[in-house]
Amino acid sequence: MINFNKDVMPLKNKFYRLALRVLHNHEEAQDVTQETLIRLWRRSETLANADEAEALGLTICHNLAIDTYRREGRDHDNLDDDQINLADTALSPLETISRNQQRQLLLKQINTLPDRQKYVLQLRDIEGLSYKKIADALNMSEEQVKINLFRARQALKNSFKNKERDGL
Amino acid sequence: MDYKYIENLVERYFDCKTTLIEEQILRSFFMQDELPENLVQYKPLFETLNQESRVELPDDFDNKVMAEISNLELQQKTSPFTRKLSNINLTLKPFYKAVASVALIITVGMSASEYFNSKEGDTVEYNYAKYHDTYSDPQVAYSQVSSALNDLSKAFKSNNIGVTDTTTISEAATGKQLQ
Repeated sequence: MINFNKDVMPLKNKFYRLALRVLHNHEEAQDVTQETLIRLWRRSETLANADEAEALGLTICHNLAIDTYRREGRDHDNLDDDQINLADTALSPLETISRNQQRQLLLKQINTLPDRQKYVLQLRDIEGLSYKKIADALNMSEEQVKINLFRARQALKNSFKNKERDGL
Repeated sequence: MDYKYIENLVERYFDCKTTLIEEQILRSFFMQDELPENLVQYKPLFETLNQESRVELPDDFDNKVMAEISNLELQQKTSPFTRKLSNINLTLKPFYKAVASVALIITVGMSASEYFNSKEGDTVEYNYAKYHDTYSDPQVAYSQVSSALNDLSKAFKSNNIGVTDTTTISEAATGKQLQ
């Protein structure tokens, strides 16, 4: 049996960042995180260890976030209102874009990846989870995790090439 | 400084052949300011990943969650019986169907056997359930029956009613006649 405060609460930011990746809305991501934690609290007697709680929590969080996203009926186009306009920066050489802008461009690139690639990248490259845990959390095989991660990383790599080309 | 190791790691990173530890090394490496020209282009990527991994919930979040949980705990405490009942309910739920099926099979089986038995039983009139013992000691009962049959036998003999070979009930009972 797990200890809720010791084993589950420290996972809250991981859940929050995943929800945020899906929803792009801090308030909604907080609600989803809270609901995830409460559901884990209800099941804390049946969970064997923190690892199990993490995998289950990520699954719950991911599903809740997607449900919220669908319920709100939003589309990808209006997700990045607070970010910079790609068209403006594509004209400038990469070197002249500020470091902050570069990061925002990359963030936009990550956020516009196909869903599966985006969530696999989130859990691997941002949260540092094993393939096995990602497969459990997103309900796919380890092979599918690797394929999606490969495509995501290749897409990011290509975006460097495109920027270099545009910059020249 | 030789960056071959890092260059190799970057290449393997994009081919998804790096381990979690190697990916951590890459993230740490790209945090430094001075980088060779061929690697500097990847700095924003690893910086972005680092930056995204530091996004955190606001400070008052824990209080909100714990308040919600204490609320739920309170609700459960005020109705411990309902909670216990629902726990029992949840534990036994998978067996409900099994129990219902067994009960149904037994009921159908019993009524079927009752039906067939009752047809055969119509011609048999013995009802042992209605018999009552008149003696409590079997030995007494036995000797009473023996003497009664003895008397009957003597009566047959004395009146010569076609009985040629008779024996006492006690002899028959001990099997003397059979030997």
